[in-house]
Amino acid sequence: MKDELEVNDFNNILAAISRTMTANRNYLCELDSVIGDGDHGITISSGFEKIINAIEGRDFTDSAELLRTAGSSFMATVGGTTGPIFGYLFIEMGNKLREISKGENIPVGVDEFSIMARAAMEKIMKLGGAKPGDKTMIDALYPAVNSLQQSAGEKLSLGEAFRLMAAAALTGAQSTKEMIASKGRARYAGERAIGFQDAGATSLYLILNEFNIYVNGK
Amino acid sequence: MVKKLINNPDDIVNELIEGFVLVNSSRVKRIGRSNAVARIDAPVKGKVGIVIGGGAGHEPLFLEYIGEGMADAEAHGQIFAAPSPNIVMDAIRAADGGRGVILLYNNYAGDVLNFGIAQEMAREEGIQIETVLINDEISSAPPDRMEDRRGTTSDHLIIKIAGAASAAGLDINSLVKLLRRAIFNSRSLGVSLSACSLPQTGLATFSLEEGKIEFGMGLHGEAGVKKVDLMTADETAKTILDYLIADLPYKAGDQAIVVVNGYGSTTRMEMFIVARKIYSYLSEKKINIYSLELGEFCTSQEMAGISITLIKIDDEIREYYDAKAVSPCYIKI
Repeated sequence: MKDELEVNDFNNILAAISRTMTANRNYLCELDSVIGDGDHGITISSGFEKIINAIEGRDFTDSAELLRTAGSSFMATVGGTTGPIFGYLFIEMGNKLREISKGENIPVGVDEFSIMARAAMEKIMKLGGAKPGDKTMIDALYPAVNSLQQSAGEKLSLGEAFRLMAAAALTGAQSTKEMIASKGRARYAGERAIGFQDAGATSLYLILNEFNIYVNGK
Repeated sequence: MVKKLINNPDDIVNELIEGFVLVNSSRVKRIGRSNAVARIDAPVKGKVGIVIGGGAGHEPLFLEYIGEGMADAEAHGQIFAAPSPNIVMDAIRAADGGRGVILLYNNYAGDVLNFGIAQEMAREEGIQIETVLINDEISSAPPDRMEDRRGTTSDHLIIKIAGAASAAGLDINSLVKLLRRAIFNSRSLGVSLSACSLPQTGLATFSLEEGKIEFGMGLHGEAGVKKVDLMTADETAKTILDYLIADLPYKAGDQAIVVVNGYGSTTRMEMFIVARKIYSYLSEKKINIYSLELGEFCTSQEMAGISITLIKIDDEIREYYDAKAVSPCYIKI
């Protein structure tokens, strides 16, 4: 079983994410329709399709370049709040990897992935101003990042770290159900938002879960 | 599934812009194949550039308000979604006449994010950029949290004031001050009679029960603050005006521009009936109407309903309101 990810792996995972988002398009639209305008599934799956178009057939010198290209392409084509928030997830992971690898094409293990994910989360929180409890994708990302840090500290395998990361993201996404939204369009819904899981947090879980599936199998 | 005249839903914005540019080919141009457009003579050297923009689906806003005495360039997003930073950058470069660029747009999370990222990119390229957010919608947050209010239907006039003042040669900091004052003097509130639908899903963005109307609905179906039984046009106008007047407040002796804006499927018949009540009620309140504009300035697809905007004016604002403007959807000579 893999204990590190290389360029090919990130490529494959992005393709898998795209397939999963497309498969969940209607579900994500439904989630978004109660307190949003019902297009999140279309928006995010279309964005990932454009990523795949942008990276298909290209040779990337390292994983950092692939991640930055994927994120930039997503942000450039998607717009709305989804574009920058999910775009920077990949852009900032790529930026951090570039920084810690000092430009070398290093494989990404638990330690590296944990640092990359935390950097991405901090960038997103700074950009959008969301904190845990605001009913956003941060409510799935924050526990996932904490889980990764713990796994790195305990020297767990990549498979185990990803399994726990995905579980934490899922619990986080589900916890948004009872929250009132403080950010984005949903914040005008007030208490009407209670009882509905946040579409962005759900998407974030689906994305992270593809890393889990890739390493551990379904 | 609501019927609309579109082709492939994925191509809506691209085709809308193609059509818009063909119709106005002597006045506007597209920036390459981007979803950014500009007045045909952009950039205009020696004045501050005015960049506007936001999601598609609200036409004529923002697309059609570029031209002499209006904005210099516009960034168009997907339906109800902010334009991405590179589209905003295309608009910024097209508008940059060497004296800086103002980003003038509505206060929504997506717009703030994308325009904000573009602002940083532009600053790295050495372009002087300032941002002015429009936040005139009074039901979206209380007066002690103005920074959380959405921008809605004073926009075309704020754009006009920006365009006129920049043409008059104001520097970027004076422009920012002027615009923030004009925006502070502007308050808007609407009422919806039926929902709109997203063309890419064919589904309504919210549901309004038979016989009900809702005050404070957003332009993208954001929940309003008060749902009541259908009232008469006069009662509806009075209700909205009472909220608006109390909010600034507008006082006896103030001079105001009034906008009666149709959201997309409300008839001019209805708007004229509402306008009649506005004249009599504001006269009762001794608020002087300098000008009343009636029409569709900022729509929400086919939402039924109207919004009323009051803008308190002073000599400076009046001067820029009266100035010449030539754009696809707003002309003053």
